[in-house]
Amino acid sequence: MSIWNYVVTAHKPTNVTHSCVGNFTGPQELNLIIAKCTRIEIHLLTPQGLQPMLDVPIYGRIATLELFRPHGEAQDLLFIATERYKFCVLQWDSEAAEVITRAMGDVSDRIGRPTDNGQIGIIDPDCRLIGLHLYDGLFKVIPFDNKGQLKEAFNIRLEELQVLDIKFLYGCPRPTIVVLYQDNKDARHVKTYEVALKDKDFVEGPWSQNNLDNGAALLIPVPPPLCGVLIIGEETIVYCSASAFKAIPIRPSITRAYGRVDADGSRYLLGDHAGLLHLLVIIHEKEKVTGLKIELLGETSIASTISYLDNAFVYVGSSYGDSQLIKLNLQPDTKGSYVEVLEKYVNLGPIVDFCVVDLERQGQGQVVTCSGAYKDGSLRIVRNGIGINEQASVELQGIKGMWSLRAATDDPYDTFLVVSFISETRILAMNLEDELEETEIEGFCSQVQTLFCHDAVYNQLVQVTSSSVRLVSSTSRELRNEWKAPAGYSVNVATANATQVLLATGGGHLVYLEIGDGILTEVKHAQLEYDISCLDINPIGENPNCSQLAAVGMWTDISVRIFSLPDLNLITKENLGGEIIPRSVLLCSFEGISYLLCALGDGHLLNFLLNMSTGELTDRKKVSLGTQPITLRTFSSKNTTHVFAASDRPTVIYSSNKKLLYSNVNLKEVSHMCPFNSAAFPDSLAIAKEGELTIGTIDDIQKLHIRSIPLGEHARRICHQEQTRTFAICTAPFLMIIMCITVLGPAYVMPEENEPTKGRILVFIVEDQKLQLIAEKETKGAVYSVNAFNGKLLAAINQKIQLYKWMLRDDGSRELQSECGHHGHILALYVQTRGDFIVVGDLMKSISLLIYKHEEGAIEERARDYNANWMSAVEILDDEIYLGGENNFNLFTVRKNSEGATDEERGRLEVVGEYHLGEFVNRFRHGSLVMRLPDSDVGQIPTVIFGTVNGVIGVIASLPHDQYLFFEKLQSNLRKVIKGVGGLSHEQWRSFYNEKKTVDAKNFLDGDLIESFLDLGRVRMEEISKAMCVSVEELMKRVEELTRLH
Amino acid sequence: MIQAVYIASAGGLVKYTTLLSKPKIIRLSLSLSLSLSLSHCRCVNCCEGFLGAMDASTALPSDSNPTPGGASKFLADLPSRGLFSSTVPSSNPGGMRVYICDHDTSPPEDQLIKTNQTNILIRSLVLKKQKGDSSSKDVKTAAASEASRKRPAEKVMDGRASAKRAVTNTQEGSKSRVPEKDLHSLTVERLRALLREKGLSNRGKKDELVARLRSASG
Repeated sequence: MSIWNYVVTAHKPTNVTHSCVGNFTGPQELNLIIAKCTRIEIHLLTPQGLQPMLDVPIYGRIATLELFRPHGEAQDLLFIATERYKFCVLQWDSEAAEVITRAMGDVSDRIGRPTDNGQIGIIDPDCRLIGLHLYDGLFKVIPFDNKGQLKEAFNIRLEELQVLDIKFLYGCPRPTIVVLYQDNKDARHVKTYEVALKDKDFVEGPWSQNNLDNGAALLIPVPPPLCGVLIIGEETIVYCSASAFKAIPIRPSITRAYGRVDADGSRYLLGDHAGLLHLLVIIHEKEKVTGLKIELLGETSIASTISYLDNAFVYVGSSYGDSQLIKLNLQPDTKGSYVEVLEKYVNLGPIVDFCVVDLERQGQGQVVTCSGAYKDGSLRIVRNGIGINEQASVELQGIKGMWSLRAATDDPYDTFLVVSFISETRILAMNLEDELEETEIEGFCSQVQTLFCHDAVYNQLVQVTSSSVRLVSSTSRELRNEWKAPAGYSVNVATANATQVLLATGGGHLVYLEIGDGILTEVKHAQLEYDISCLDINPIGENPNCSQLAAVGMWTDISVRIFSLPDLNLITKENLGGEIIPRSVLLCSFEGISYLLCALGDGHLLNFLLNMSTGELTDRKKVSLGTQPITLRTFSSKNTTHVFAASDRPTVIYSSNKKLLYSNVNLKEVSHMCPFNSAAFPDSLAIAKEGELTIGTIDDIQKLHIRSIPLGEHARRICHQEQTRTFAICTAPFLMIIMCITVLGPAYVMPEENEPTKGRILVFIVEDQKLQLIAEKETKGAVYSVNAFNGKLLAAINQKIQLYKWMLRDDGSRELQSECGHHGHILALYVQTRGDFIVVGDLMKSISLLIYKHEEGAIEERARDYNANWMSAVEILDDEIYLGGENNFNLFTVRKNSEGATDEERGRLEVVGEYHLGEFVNRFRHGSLVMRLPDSDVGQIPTVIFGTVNGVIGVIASLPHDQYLFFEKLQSNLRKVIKGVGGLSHEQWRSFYNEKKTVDAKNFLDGDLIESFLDLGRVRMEEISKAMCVSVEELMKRVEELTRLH
Repeated sequence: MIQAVYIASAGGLVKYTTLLSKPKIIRLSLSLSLSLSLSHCRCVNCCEGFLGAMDASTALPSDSNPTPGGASKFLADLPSRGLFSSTVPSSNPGGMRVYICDHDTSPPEDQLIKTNQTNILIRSLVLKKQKGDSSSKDVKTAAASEASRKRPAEKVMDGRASAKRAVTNTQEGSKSRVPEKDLHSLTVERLRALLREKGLSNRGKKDELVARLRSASG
């Protein structure tokens, strides 16, 4: 790998940190806004449910998210503050469908100690000011003027240093905050302050309350008419106002999130650390609080945010498990739970560890992550591409074609499956018991190969064989009409839709038939100069039964032609070039755009934009999908049409953001596919592959597919053993789960168990699907990492690196014997090895490079990075370059300086790349998420995958220098065109940032920005192409190549 | 001969979970008619079984005294605006559009917010000084046009503040003329300073001083 790296997100953050509900996109539209660390998602609430609207990237880690409405505004504004002390106020411009910046600014102070308990950003309910608590002892105020515009911010000294929460009180004549704080004796109190905007100072507030619950950590301001505040503790909940004080005891729990149910604030939902959802009710009489009541409702994911949506539906956002859409039922279910989980939104975060494996041995990596925490812990299998979930399969050799047919024209489900072989045709049907059995359609000719089948109007079926076209009634199953090929000619290729049949016979004859009620009419005949290789009349126009255009692929001149129907006039001829004939053509339409897809015999696919009225073909693009001929077929999943390209590397072609995307399918060598949407198996596909007919359902059409294996506990480490095909998962202290499929040979799986000052290394053997402990070694400290190293075991134990030999004792048992070690770290947390080199990521002391000397049997330090970085992960990119992630969400690379003149120079790891990722990386692993095709350029680019706390899976790819320079130029041009939402700057966002320094990113490129080039409008693309002096097509091609890295 | 094999698996790892949850693996071998029994084959069920087992193990912790149906009465009348009214909420159709922002996002000129960089202490001193100045001005104008007072309450307050400040800053206070009505609110020291300014004796009790000032100002 190299020092020129390209960082791109393969799986976006899914950890939900904030959410709020309000009228953001319009005065009448109610929105749910979700913050996922560096992105916000805007959903619309509709009678049918949540409708996703927009996914907005933010150049910053969102620290606070609030909706508010200044006086005189018809809709809400969105206030966002980022962890790097920027804030912005966003407004939705519904005419342009754009997010516009109302205000933004930098709220950092030169002096100040960042708060330990997180940043607080709150907005006065009467919109008089925005309050921010970013530094200990300072409260920042951004006042509003009468017109709802913001004015210059100022700081107010806040006496309380250990602030736990601050909220604005409702119904106060002057803006009043309530502060929950801890004193230096660790007792917790609340205090109120009025903000005197004129004096720019605090005035003692109306009340205070001392000595609260020791676990009090959350304040909930109660809106009028009740006003006051709820103080949520671990053992009590207190309602407090100037005039009232009510408390109730609760079962000990830590409340993590709350959501207000009623506008008058009489009911709240509380989510605790164990994922239990409670309802807190303020009982009041005539605006006077008389008591509190808390009721357990049920269990959800461990909530980080709760938003009451409407009509008993609640959104539960989670950092530790899947976010959920739940419904609160009036009556409990059998388990006594009032909570009904209606939908789960996948969350991979926090990815504590992961490994890259190739389970299906297809040359494509899958990522298995330890995701979630506590009770929501799970393993997730993340795979690029689309999976077919096999439901049933049967051995059938030599399938030449497959079609599904319905029993009646208006039947919503398919009944028959026609399977064609070289010398016969068999028909399978679903019977009344929902079983598939062989049947017969009398009117069909089953002694010969079928070329094409289709449902036709008037409850008819069409079968095309080499000699004839047969029209059969689907009710009586009898032949109603037949069109016979002229003597001496046989039909070679054919296609049909509900009302039309188009077929080609030898000698370049093209025949067009129309289907009537019990009659086939030959409407038109055309003679072409060459033989025809493929045809399609898939109706994509307004009429779903009848096509205006026909696509024809030709032998000899290697062209694809568009004919008009029914008169068979040639409209367009497109020469494909090369010597490979088109094997399959398909007219299709995605997201309202019509395309002509043309698959060649060598696994290439050409796509054109098709103008439906003129038949013109434009925007030719070529991609390589495999090496074998491709057969194209449409299918639909979730009411959207996609295309399945059957070949040696089957691919699903779909469209997103009006771009064609290609996703490979987890199957090998599919020869034919047809949709088979039967009542028992809705939305299924019948797939012919390698002597087998399979019926299966297809995953959701998306780029990354995630499968979840709930563990119910927190998995800490995972490793995969190739030989035994086992995974070892280390969960909280002493529990192990091992999964085995087959055991090929004994080998070792080494988990780690840790305790602060005393630890153990346990060596297990996997045999006969059982885990057996064969050796145990006590260590003087926690074991943070174990690696296999030159046939020995390298362990990081507290501040020490220790090497163990695997010794055979006299009695035949084995033990770990200490060989040598190396001291000099604070805590050696992460260890990677390559050859004799050991790279250590220290808790505080960045990266150091050690070497193991065989002759002396010693480990010595070679070089180190003298910066103070608190490491979160390390990886060796190549012999010279090491990659590190640290706790201020930065990435950096260091290089070994072997050519240094002095020892001092050689002993220094030179920092060569710096970048702010904005994500806390927990693990790097070499590998790739995509299938590496040997013939593509991308196949040569080495990649490292990383997993983060927010559930991001990202890819770091090392680019060749010239490519790096090209994309660097593109990136700087893109920065001028793609603006940060809220006026946040991309350059600042990606600059390396920690407590000590902020420097511009170097030798890292932001792939997310670069790849968004493809989503730009044509005008913008041309703008960039002009600035780059590279054609748009070339730019698109090069960027598309990069998108294939993940 | 056609052989039918039923596979209860979604491939890969789900297979393992199904093994853990011991699903029924049915093997069908049919000779004459090709018949696949598909209806039982739902991998989802296997997984649900597994999840169900999980639920049982992490069953709801019992509250101290869970009253069956206790929450029902509080769950009545949840707010509704007619959204989510459809009985079957549809799942998310398709993905979400990623927002690409290619318009100018810089805020309106005056809405680029900065923090006042003055030190808090200095700011409060300046503010106080300004207030002192403005209050003494207020006092003057008030004295000049006492009849047309606009915000009497505020002025009284300001006056008081300036009176307080007189303790620390007699020099400043001495320059101002104080309306008689407020003479009592001034400190003795301030009164003496005023007397000295007018060249009168500054001896005696507060009442005497006030009386003397009053008679002097006529």
